[in-house]
Amino acid sequence: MANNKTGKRQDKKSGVRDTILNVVIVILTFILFITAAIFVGKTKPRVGTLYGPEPAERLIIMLQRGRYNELMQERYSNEMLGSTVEKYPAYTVPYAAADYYEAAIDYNGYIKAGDTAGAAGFKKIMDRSRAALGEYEYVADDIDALVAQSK
Amino acid sequence: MKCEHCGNNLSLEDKVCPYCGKENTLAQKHNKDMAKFEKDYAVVKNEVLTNSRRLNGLTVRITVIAVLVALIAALILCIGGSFDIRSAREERMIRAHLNEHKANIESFMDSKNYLGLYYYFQANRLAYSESLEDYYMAYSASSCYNQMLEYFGYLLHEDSYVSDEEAMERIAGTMERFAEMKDPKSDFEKKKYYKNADVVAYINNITEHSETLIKGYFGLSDEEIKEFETLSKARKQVMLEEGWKNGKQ
Repeated sequence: MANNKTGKRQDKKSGVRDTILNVVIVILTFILFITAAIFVGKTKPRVGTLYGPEPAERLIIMLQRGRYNELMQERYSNEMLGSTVEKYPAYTVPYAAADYYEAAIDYNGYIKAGDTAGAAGFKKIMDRSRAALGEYEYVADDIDALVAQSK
Repeated sequence: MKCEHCGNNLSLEDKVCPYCGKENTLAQKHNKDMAKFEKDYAVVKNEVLTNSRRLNGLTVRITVIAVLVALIAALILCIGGSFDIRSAREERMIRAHLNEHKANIESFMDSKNYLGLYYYFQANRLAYSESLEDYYMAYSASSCYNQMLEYFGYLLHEDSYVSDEEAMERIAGTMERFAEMKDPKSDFEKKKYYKNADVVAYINNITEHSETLIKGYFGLSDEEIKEFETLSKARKQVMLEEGWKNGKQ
C-alpha cells in the first residue's frame, strides 16, 4: 500500500518533469529551424537577387511623376537583372524615357561645352528614344525643359 | 515428502493423503509460500521496470536536448562565418561564368556604356571578385560616374530631398576621385589595378566625358577644367556652386 502511494507520487512527479522536458525539446527544435533558416539565408549567394527587377507598371508611374533620375537607375538595374525589352516589351516606353533622359543630359552638356561633334551621337539616341515613347512623347519635352533650366 | 499422519510418501500436488485421507498441510504451506513469493516478485519486477522506463525516458530526453543545443551552437558559430562562406560561394559562381563576364565587361568598355558596366557589376556581385581584379578600376570609375550623374539629377529636380549644397559636394568628390584614378599615387595600386591598358583607356574616356559635362553645366573654361584637377575638394565645390548659380541666372 505504502509502495503504491509512493509509486503514484513518483509517477506524478516524473509526469510533470517529462512534460517540461518535452516543451523544452519543442522550443529548441523551433529555435533550430529558425537558426538553420538564418544560416541558409546568410550564406546564399546574392547574385542577381540583390535588388530584384522593378515591374513595368512601377516604372511607368516614375515616368508619369517625372522621377527621371530614379527611372534611369532602375532601367539599368532591371536590364542587368534580365528584364530586357526583348523579353518584356512592356518595358519599351519606360526604358525609352530613361535613355532619352540620359542622352539629353549628355547632349546638352556637350553643346554647352562647345563639343557639337561629340553631341551628335547623343542626339541620335534622343531621336530614337523619342520615337519609341509613343503616347508619352510629352515626356521628352518635359525632359528637354528640365535639362535646359541650367543655362 | 511424507504424510505427517501415516508416514506414507506424498507429492506436492497431493492436497490430501491418498492413504489416510488427511489434509496435506505441508503442501498447503508450500503453495501458500510460493504464491506470496510470486506476488512479491511481480511487485518488485513491476517497480524495476517502471523505474527503468522512467530513467530511459529521462535519458533519451536529456540526450535529445543536448544534441539540439549542440546543433544550435554549431549553427550560430557558422552564422558568424557566413560572410566568408557566402563570398566563397559567390566567387565559385563568378568563376563558372568568368569568360562570359569578361566578354560583357569588355563590350561595355568598348561601347563606353559607363552606367551599364556599373549595374552589371552590381547585379552579378563582381566588384570584389578576385578573378576580375583587373577590371576593378573600371568598375570604380563607373561607380563614380553613376554617383556624379545621380547628384546632377538631384540638382536638376528641384523637388528632390537632396540639397544643392550636398549635391555639389558629392559631385566635387567624384571629380576628385576621377583625378586620383587618372594619376594614382600609390605604386601598389598602379601594379595591382592598372595592368590592363583597356581599363586605363576607359578611365581616361570616362574622366574626359565627365569633365565635358562639368564644363558645360557649370560654365567652366578649358583652363579652369585643367586647373580643376589640381584643386582641393572644397575649392572644386565653390567653383561648381558659382558656376551653377551663374548658369541659372
